[in-house]
Amino acid sequence: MDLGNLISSLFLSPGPGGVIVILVMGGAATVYFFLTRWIIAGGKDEDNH
Amino acid sequence: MRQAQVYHPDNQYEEAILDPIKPPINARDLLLWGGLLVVMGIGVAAYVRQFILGLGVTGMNRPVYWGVYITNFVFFIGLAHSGTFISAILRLSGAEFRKPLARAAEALTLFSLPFGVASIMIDMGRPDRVMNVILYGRFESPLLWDFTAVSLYLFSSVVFFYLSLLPDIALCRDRLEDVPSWQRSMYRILALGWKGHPEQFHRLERVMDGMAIFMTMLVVTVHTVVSWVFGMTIQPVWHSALIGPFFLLGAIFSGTAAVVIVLAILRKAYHLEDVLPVGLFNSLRKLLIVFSLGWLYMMIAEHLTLYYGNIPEEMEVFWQRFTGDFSIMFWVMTFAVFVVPILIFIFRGKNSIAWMVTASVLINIGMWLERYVVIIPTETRPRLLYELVQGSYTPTWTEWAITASLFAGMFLLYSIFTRFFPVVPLWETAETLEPETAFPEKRQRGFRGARRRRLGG
Amino acid sequence: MAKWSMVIDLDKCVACQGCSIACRFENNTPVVSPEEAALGRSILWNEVFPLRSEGEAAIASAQAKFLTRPCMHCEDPPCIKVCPVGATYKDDEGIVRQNYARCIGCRFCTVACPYGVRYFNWYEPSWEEGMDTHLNPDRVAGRGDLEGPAIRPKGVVEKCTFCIHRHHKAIARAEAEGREFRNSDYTPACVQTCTAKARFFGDFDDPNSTVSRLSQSRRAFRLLDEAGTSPKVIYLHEG
Ligand code: SF4
Ligand code: SF4
Repeated sequence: MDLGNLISSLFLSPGPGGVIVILVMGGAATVYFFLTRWIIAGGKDEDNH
Repeated sequence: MRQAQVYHPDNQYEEAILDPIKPPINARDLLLWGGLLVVMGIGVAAYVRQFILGLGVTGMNRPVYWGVYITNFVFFIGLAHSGTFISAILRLSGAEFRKPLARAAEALTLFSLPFGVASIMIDMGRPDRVMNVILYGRFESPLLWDFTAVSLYLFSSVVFFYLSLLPDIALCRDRLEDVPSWQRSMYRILALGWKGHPEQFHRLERVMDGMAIFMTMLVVTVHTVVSWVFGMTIQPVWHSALIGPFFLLGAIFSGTAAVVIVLAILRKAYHLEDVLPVGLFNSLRKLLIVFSLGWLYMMIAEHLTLYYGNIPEEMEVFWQRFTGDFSIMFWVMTFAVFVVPILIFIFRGKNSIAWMVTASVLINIGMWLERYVVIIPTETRPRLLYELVQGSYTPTWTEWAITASLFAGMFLLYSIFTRFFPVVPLWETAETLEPETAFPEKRQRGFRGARRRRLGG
Repeated sequence: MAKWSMVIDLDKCVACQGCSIACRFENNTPVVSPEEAALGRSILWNEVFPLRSEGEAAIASAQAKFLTRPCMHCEDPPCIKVCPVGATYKDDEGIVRQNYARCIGCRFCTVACPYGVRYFNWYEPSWEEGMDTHLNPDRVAGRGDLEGPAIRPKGVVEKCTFCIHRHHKAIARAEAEGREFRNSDYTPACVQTCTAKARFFGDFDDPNSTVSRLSQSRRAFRLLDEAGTSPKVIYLHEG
């Protein structure tokens, strides 16, 4: 099976669509989690000195 | 002295903004919430009946397979574009007037999106099988695009909203001493230990700016994808490249009009006259004038192309709208969305909140009708069947009851939210974010007047 | 691998609706009340439509025209493209099938099909007394799917399957008899029943089959050919 077929079958067959949804949502959750942590952590070092 | 442990920006309107949160839950709240719950209850009962008996209790049939529920879906997703438009797009363009109303608009996003999602669930013949979308999802289907885009949008709006709320939750945590202990613990937990350090504010601003770009992209994607559920089929009139931009414009239009309504209610109910001055409404008025004209442009572009092209199956739908079964709705819609509001905006809207609200209510009624008139007429004259079978559609009480309960649910969430959280962002409307005093608790009230900045210019 | 196809000769069709009825009994199509039918909720996988006649001459000659319409089993079916869960799919032999067990009832396919051949179960299917004990017991074997004449639950979409269970039965019978499966072993109920012998069924890829030969007729046309769906049901014009 060549690459083009493989990629198109990812979109056409039942199953991978759900994985894409989960990946997108999971990716967003991770990014947002670290962003929030980064914001909250702002100025921590100074306080500790 | 070193920098204070917890710092909160200095906002001249702090009293006024925090006032609605201070009093304990009273009879008025309970009456409002109870009333809304009753409306929701009727809708829930109607839904349970539909769930048990089947979708036959609606007016849907063949070929009108999609009805009021899908209209609601599109409408709620459209309403949801208000918040993102005002807080993300206007943020990027640096429009200062957005600041006091950003949160009220975002809350509208947050509380209307879930009802858009719910509409889809309500419309499904087998809601119990919704997990199949994950288990067997096919990304070729525009429904999956929708599913991804709307979930990501809902999730991102929650985060965007929450981040911008953080400093104010911390402020509530520190300032509101008289509230019940559960409420204080709620603030404590939600504040995530926010200290108000300048570096925190700095990072927050940076993230908000970055997210604003992302949210702007999402907002365009989401409503275009919603329209593609229709546009990707080859049904007459739906199958048009214009449907995406038209839906998007309509979404931002109805969303912005909804913000006007919400602001006016908040202003009255919570005595925020100083914080939400008439100037704000004047700024929104200008935006709305632009959107109405944009709407007219889209309307003409769509219908002139159809009429001039004169393709038989498209003309069937065209005449359904202009003179057929949907003509009353179509013309009411035209007057409610465009003719009357634009006259109001131009001749009466300036400095008059009452007129602005009238126009905005009309726009939202009209936009709901517009969604309906875009979706249903095509279904009554589908490509092949228009010469064989002609469809018609009358919604039943079940559909209306469920629709009413969705709106009630939105109001309920909104009114509960405004009783527990400041609905005007305190930190964003503050004079400055820099800590000037070592002890913010001992702010010198006398100096405030001099720094007063005009809001809503 | 066969490519199943149907030819309908409109010149022979007498609009007796025998195909509709045969289909109904073969595939256990639910019956709806007259009120529901008036709402447009009757389920007829194979429907016979009167065509509008235009012009004085047509009315004077009192010549009614009819169109009988099964699923077109499109080669490029819009219904499959839009299904979010793959509940409707095309099998190896080109038949567009419907899996009742997986369908979530979103009705996207019903909206996307330009031929209006997909039907939704608005209520739990029901039959009149007496009829409910005489349902077709045939089932489509395999993968635990609910297909063909199987009783469908409420809230799912159903459609013409070219009597897919008859295909399976024909293969099984050939196997039991210890012989090769012949294309002529498999005939949908509507083709078998057609009073006027207006319907033909067979393998489109076989150049000698009746359907291939008839598809070359000058009268041959396909419904909404311009929609780009490449239907495998081919009509022959009247006259
Ligand atoms: S006729 Fe309709 S249901 Fe049948 S295959 Fe074509 S698009 Fe699908
Ligand atoms: S109604 Fe069923 S078959 Fe049709 S698109 Fe939805 S899930 Fe697929």
